[in-house]
Amino acid sequence: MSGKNLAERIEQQEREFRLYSDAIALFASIRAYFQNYQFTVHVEPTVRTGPEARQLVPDLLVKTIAGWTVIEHKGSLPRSRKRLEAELGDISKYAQTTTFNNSAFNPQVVLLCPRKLADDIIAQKKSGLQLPNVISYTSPMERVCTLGLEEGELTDVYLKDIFARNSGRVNMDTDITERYKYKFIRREPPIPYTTHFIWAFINLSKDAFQKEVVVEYDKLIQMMNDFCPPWCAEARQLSEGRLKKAVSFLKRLGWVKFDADTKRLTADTSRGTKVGRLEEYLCEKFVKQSEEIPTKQLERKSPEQLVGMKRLEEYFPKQS
Amino acid sequence: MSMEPDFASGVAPPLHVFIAFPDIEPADIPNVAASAGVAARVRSSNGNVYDLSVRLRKRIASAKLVVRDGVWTIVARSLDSPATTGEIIDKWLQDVHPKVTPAFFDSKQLLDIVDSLGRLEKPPKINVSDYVLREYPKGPTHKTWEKGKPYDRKVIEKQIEENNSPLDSIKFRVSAGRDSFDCRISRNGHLVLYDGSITQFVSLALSPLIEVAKVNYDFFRYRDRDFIKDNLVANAIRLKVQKTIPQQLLERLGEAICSSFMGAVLHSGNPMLYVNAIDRLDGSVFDVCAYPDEIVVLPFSKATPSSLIRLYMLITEVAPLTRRSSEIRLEPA
Repeated sequence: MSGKNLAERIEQQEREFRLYSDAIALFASIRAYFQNYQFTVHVEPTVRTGPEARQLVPDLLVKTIAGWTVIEHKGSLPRSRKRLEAELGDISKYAQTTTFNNSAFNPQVVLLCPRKLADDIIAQKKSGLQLPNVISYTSPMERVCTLGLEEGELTDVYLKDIFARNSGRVNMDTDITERYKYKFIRREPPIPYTTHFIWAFINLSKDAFQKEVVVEYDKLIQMMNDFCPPWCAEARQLSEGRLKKAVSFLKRLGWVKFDADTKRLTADTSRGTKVGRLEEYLCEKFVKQSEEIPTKQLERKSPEQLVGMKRLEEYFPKQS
Repeated sequence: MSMEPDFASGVAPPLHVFIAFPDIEPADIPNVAASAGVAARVRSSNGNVYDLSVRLRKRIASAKLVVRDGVWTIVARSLDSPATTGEIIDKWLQDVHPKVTPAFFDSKQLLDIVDSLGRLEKPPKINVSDYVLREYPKGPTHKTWEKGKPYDRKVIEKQIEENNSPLDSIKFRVSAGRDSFDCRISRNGHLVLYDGSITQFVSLALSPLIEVAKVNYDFFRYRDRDFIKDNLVANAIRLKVQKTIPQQLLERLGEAICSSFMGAVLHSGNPMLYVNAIDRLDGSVFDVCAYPDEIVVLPFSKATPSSLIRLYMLITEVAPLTRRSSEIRLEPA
């Protein structure tokens, strides 16, 4: 792997970290904003769609007295026309009979994306690109985030009215106090993202001048979910699977030890105190470790373990 | 505050006075100091007054510790060079932090104390000799006051704004007939009486500052996120700014938090800054969200006043025109 590729991969990991955090800020703010209008907003609900009742999870499902709207968020879209069409087609699949909580409806579908991305895809309309309704948001996120109706006509009269009354642009407050409890959505978080929260929660058990902290694994999940209650359907924000991945990463960093018998984590809280920005450090380490693991595993194999493995020459026998 | 019987007689200035808030009893001092890797001895001398001796490598400073209403006042006489005793105790307080938290004052509060002297029934004459601004990350900058020029608060406020630095300390002389004193008051609760009447210094400077320090400390108490009748309650701290924080400063604030604490930047000050910070000293955790017009701190289930004060001091160093607003309690959605 070349140095440039490694740097790019680290950058990509950091981008994914921020996109995940942005998505939470966006969903929580939109939910709070529409709730002011007495609309019900479900974040990542499970719905069944189409004649085959396929189970799907849209990003947001908004219910007003007039009907239902599915909002799908895309922080980025593919550049290739073919893949772009496929992705937009995926979004349009919601525009058929959908059931949720014993209600059946035909929702209108909205693509939610950053303003620049909206401009880019709308420009491709001239060349025949089929678009759903498009609502843009200001990116990077600011205190006041503007939602703009860029494409299409909303059929839900209540939603339509909100945009119409504000010349197609509504200003939404993204104040942290509206979303302080929301750390995860159902979408799988990047492992460095989960890890930084787990590390924060482990540190909560630390006292002054204490280096080593022992935390019960189950208590960690319980504490995290008590302080960050479910908000996406009934899904727990911190699942055991997510914790496992983060702990495994922390173990590889040498920051924690896990005793499988007692299910206790012993953390060395003096670790990582001089790493600068924690998310950058975790992303970099994660990418580097991901690259090292296969090589290391191979290195660790004993000659006995390698017996069954064919040598490269065996696949390409010498020509006589 | 009647400290006169203990210190007024036979103790010659300069005196170093530290105001601090303990999370421990005086008897715990040796153990706490040992945990922090420093040495200290304490001996009860008279009721709420203790003899305190702290050691920094080969240097020792002896002091009187007065415990009253949850406040520690540490008073020490300079033994050798005037700065040494102050430095030793100052460093010792940093080492035993967060078990003992030094008091803090805003720039405005320091200037208010100087102003209040001018509002006395028989206003004394106030002569400022110098003041220090503290800019992040450069550190302190000394500003000399022109000799003979009358004290004018606006001059210092203008410097604070222009230099984007909080007032770190101010040195002044108060003269009222035969009674006068020469002192320095600092934002980190360290006061120095260089010369003059201890009685005047205690009643006009120290006692009012202790009262202000208590209010400041109480502002940051009980901020932990908690459950009240099964409802999750967050106690947000809102810091209003007098001057819009530019994007560059928001970015610098993010870097400063990550350097003094352990922090992950979720949004990098463009122009919204969102940092999840862990205090590596005591495990306090909080979210900090900074906008050009406001900074919001949302403590997690553990956020000690000591930790929040450190954060506040840092924020006001990077963005000095920040003011605390009243408490806001958040009920669950």
